[in-house]
Amino acid sequence: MAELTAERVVDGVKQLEAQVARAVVGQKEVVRQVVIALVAGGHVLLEGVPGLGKTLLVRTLADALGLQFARVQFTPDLMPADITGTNLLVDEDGKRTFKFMPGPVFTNLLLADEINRATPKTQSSLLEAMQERQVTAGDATRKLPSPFFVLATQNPVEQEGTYPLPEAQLDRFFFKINVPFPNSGELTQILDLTLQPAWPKIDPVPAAAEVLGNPAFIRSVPVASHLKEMAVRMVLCSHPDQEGAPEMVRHYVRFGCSPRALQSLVLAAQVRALLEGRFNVAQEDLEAVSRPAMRHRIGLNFEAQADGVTADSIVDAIVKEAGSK
Amino acid sequence: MAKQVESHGPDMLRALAPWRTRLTLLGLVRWLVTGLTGGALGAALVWGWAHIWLLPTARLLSWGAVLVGLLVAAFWALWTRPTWRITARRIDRSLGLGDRLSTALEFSRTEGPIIERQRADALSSLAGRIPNEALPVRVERKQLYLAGAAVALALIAALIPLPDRVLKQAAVKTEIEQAEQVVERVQEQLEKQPLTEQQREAMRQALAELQKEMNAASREFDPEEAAKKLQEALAKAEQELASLPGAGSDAKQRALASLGRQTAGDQQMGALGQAIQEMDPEAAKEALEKLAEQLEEMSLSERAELAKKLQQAGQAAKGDQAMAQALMQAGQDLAVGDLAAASGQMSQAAQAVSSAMTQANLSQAVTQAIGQMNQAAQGVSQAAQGNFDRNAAQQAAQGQGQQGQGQGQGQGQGQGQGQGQGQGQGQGQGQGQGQGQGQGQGQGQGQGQGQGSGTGGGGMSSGGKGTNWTGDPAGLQTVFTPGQIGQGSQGEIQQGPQGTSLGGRTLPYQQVIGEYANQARDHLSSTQVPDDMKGIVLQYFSELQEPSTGE
Repeated sequence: MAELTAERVVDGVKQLEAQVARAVVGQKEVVRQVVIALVAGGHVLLEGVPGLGKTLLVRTLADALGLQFARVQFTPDLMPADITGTNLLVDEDGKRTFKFMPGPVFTNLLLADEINRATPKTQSSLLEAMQERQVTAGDATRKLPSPFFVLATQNPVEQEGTYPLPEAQLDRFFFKINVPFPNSGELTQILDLTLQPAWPKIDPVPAAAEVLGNPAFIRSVPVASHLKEMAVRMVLCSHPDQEGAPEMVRHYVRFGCSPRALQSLVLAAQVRALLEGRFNVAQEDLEAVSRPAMRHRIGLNFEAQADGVTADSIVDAIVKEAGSK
Repeated sequence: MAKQVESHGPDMLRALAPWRTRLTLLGLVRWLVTGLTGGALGAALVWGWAHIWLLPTARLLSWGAVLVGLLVAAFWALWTRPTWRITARRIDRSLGLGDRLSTALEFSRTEGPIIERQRADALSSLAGRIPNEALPVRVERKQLYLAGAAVALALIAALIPLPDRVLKQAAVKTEIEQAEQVVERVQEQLEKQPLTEQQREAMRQALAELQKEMNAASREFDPEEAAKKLQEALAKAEQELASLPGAGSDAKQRALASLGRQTAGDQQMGALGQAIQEMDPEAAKEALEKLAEQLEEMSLSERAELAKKLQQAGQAAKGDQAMAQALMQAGQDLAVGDLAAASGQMSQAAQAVSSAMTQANLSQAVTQAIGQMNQAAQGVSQAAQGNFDRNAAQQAAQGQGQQGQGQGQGQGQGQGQGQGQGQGQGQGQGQGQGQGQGQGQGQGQGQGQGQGSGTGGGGMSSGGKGTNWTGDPAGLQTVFTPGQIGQGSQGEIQQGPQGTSLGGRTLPYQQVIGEYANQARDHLSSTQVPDDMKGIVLQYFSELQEPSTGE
């Protein structure tokens, strides 16, 4: 395999985005953010109302990347074993033995559709898989295939019969991406695409798959010390009890970002820098990835909900504060 | 794996050097504007203060404030010139380079494929960019407005005329300073006098006390109060100085004057008379002692004549008992032929004459000093009452230098040339240079500095020994007129061929004018003068002698 270079990363990602664009209309920023997360080796939580193409996006990505894909539709009665797999009693050669039947988590790209419909018990079955990239069932721990990504979706509108993801679960998602409603032009394109006799065929992009398997290269993108300090300040400023936290954070935030947010911020910024044609992280990279990297890691209090304050506005205030120093 | 080594790479430093210089210059410009703002505000404060309280150094201080502001700003700008790291960051921001330079600088000695690509990318981003064009000298409009407002404020504060009270304060202060100089001169003059230790100590103490009071007065907020204090102090000092010559000095002066008149022009005692006129105690003493030594060589008739003259001199010097008694006794001893006793008495008389002259000199010096101090007090008083030159006071209050102007004016009557400093009143003719204050009439030529006023035929001379002369230009008779003392500290007067005479304290006008009239008549009778002119002269003196015009 040829040595990975910045040009190959950019080229691979561009090809990937081009393939995705054949099936997913618009949503370029969402696609870019998902790609950044995947290149950085992180999991993604996609949030949006039904019908925006979240599942389509994930499926298309899987096709383009040529990765093994599995989809789990989360429902309240879904059990952990339905995801991780279970030991079945099987009769082999006259002997009855337990045999592990891998669940859908044993894949490269797992789509956890409507993840907030499952109970916390089932949701938490993904914890080990997402962090350790392994599954423990019974007395055996099994490695997941590499690469392994979880792309989960959730519907923010329906509250009835849903179980908000616990903080520990949320923190494991590299990005939380809000999928916006398409504009009129995009809707027209969606309609045109629908009226075509055949759904566009997605060609695999080997170069993109190659990028996903080389996180060390991404991490070699230099980050200046003042930008590292800014990333640290961003995380610290998200905590209401920290000195230097903006007034908005003090007033509306219940808890701030974890150190995983810091990792996500910098890694995502490194990927973005490469995709923007730079060989170094810039402040604008940190600012660009701050919302998807931090919004799900900030716990808002009741006053924020009552005043209609969103996590994104909090993140913006944090970025402004941290970037001004 | 990237390898980190120390410091910044030379490539990056070379690339950033012109940008750093440019940023330093921009910082300097910005700080100079700030410094100007601060300096101008400081100058405005100085001027504001000068409108409340006398601040003679206001102009200097205001310029100083501006200068200090600019210097501090320049120093600070250079002291805080951007580091390489800050330079890189600022250029990144200014040119929108996406932190390329700051990252490249930080990793300028790090090796690795992507790092080297990044460095090359950063350097190429600077290629073709010229610091002067990319970073033009630009000062924020707000900063410029602020600086302009501060400068305008300072100018307005500087141009607003100072209030009357401050001007008066400045005028009084100037007068006090001049008075201090007068006191210093007075002290110099008195130090030259043959004072006893006790007198010298008393004089120094009085003048030191006066200087102290003057210093206190110059710091007084209220000019009128300052003038009052100064006048009180001057009056006290004058009183103490007036007591220096001791009791009976006036009578001794009168006796000396009378003796001088008596002996001046005499063949035998002329040397004594001349010495008295010149107020030279040693010469007077020597003249009498020499006369005593010559007794043996004199003929009888000469001795008889001298005895008579000595007795007449004793009569003339009756104001000084010791001097009169010694002269009278010498005359009597000589008349009876007791040469030894006469010689002894003449020696005693010489001693008494010398002592009286010394005391007279001191008395005159003190009188001069008091006159000068009175003049100074008058200046302060006038300033406190608002009689002062407003332009000069404005300049003094703002710290502008000014050159003194004025002219010293004549002293006494007589002919002569003089140099020196002085104050005085009188009439006279002469030439002189010096400084002085005074009033007078006369004719003459001279140069001087000071203040004064006068009438007459352009009389302008100053200086002299501090003696007061009224005299006849022809030298027939001279009259000393006290109260019109020409005062000066240095200089000399060359007297006319017929000399002048030192008189007593006061002579009635009628007596003086009578003597002049007699002399005029004598001259008219012995000189070829047309009759009509004689009539004019005689009529002139007869009118002067009329009681209605007497004084």
